[in-house]
Amino acid sequence: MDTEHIHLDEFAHLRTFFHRFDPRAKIVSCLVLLVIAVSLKTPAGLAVALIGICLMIRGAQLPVRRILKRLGFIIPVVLMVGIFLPVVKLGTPLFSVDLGFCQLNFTKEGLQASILFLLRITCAALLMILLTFTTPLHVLLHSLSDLKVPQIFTQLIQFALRYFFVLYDEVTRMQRARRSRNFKPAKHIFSRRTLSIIGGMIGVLFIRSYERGERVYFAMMSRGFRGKIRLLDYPQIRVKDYVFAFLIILLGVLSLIIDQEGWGWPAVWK
Amino acid sequence: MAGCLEIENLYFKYHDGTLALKGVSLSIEKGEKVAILGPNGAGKSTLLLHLNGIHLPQQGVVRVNGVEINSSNEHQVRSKVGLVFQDPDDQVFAPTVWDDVAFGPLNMGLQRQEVEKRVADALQAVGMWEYRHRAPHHLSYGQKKRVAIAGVLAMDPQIIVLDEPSAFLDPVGQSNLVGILDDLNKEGKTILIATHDVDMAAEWATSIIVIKDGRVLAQGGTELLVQQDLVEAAGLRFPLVSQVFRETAVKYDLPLPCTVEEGKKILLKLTRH
Ligand SMILES: Nc1ncnc2c1ncn2[C@@H]1O[C@H](COP(=O)(O)OP(=O)(O)OP(=O)(O)O)[C@@H](O)[C@H]1O
Ligand SMILES: [Mg+2]
Repeated sequence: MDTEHIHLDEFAHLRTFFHRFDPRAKIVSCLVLLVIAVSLKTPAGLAVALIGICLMIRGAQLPVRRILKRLGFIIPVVLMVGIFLPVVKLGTPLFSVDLGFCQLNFTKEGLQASILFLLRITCAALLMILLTFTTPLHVLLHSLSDLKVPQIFTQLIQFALRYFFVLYDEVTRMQRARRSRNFKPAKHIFSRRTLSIIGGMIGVLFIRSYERGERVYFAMMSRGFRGKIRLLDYPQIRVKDYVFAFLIILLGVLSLIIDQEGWGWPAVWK
Repeated sequence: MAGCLEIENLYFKYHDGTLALKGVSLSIEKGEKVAILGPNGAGKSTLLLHLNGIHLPQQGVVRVNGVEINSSNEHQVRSKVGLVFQDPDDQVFAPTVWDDVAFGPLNMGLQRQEVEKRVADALQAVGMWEYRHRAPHHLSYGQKKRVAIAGVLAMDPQIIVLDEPSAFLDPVGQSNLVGILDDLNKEGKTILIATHDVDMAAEWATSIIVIKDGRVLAQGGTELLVQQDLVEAAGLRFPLVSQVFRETAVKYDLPLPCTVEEGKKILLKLTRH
């Protein structure tokens, strides 16, 4: 079976308030919250931020399964750091593993650090998912250039995505062609034939995508594209947007206050 | 009268050293229906990319309405000359069919109402209005081709250039295409197609350009399509009607027909005897 085509804007058509939220106000407030969230130092502060973000995701009616699937992308990073941090950080040892040539000490400080890291990265990822799932891509890019992000960056993102799909299509086509001529990869990756065929494919993929990329660019130029993304409806910022943006930033401030209380129970609960 | 599209002694070499155009010169009048024919690799697509300033001449001149295309006016030229690419996958990219067709009009800075009207007209003209909310990458190849054509129609250019427009269209799609092109032509637009479809060229075109190896072999009316030596040199074939009537025409000393209509006339004439 072919892998399904990747959708980026799958949920951008839903019509909750979060979708109608002015993209510029949304970007700014989400970014402020993101910066605060990744600078938090206690699980309590992070928990508050995380709960707030989860509530927003509920409000935007995004399907939980898709979000979890998207979150899957960060698992490798989390695992790597989660395993290394407790070992490399010095402090009170919890337990140790003897590897023969050296001894690995898992420290309490290290474990705390990796929990913090996990919470931070989850917050950041969820925020980004919320932002990208509720805003069509071209609107997002347009708003970025409205917010005075240099055009070179928005164009870079735009073309990176456009070419990503070009590349993805090429891979799908080549896989299809390969399968229809009964190519079966050998059991282990180090088979000479498999390696040389896959190597060749990667080479051809680069050349094909390069040439296709050029034609794609020509076709966009042909229809008058000059680097600026244009929208049909120019979004108008309303009072509601300011209020909502303010509330999101308030969530950040709240978690920051709770964060100041250190590792123990926050003062507000005492 | 000066042609609305003039090319003089055009050369073009790709990065890898392939000399794709070796001194092309031609001239096209306003309101003509031109078919460019030639074998694979003759340089048709390369030539078409010069017509709206995507490739600027490395040597030679391209003039649109008497104005030479250069780097300072290439953007204006693109709203005058619309180019439909050979492979719709190169051209169609937006999340929905509607958005894709609106891409050109939006780039031209048109107002909402005008954009909506043009998109609707263009999609209806190619029979894809029902598909306006679909994602283009999930359409069939021929459907994508229609969307690609609509994307250029919506920009309402004076000169419309299509690279292999009939490839991958079903028979109804092909005759619809001929209908659309004829309608546009009646509105006064000049139309240029690159094609391998000799029969379509014979039926539809008012002017034929044959190119091979980056050079123009001949430019003229549809009678070029039945010139034995030219057809052989360019790797083409006679239109089917001409093949059918070849011996008959010689025997009765009649001009060799190119189109179905001409063929029918000859049949009537002969059966009346
Ligand atoms: N991007 C490229 N880089 C290098 N050479 C190219 C490139 N594109 C085309 N060519 C070469 O330029 C010549 C003309 O190619 P072009 O695509 O214009 O032919 P064509 O007449 O459109 O052929 P077809 O009927 O197959 O579409 C060919 O020899 C081709 O190999
Ligand atoms: Mg071609």
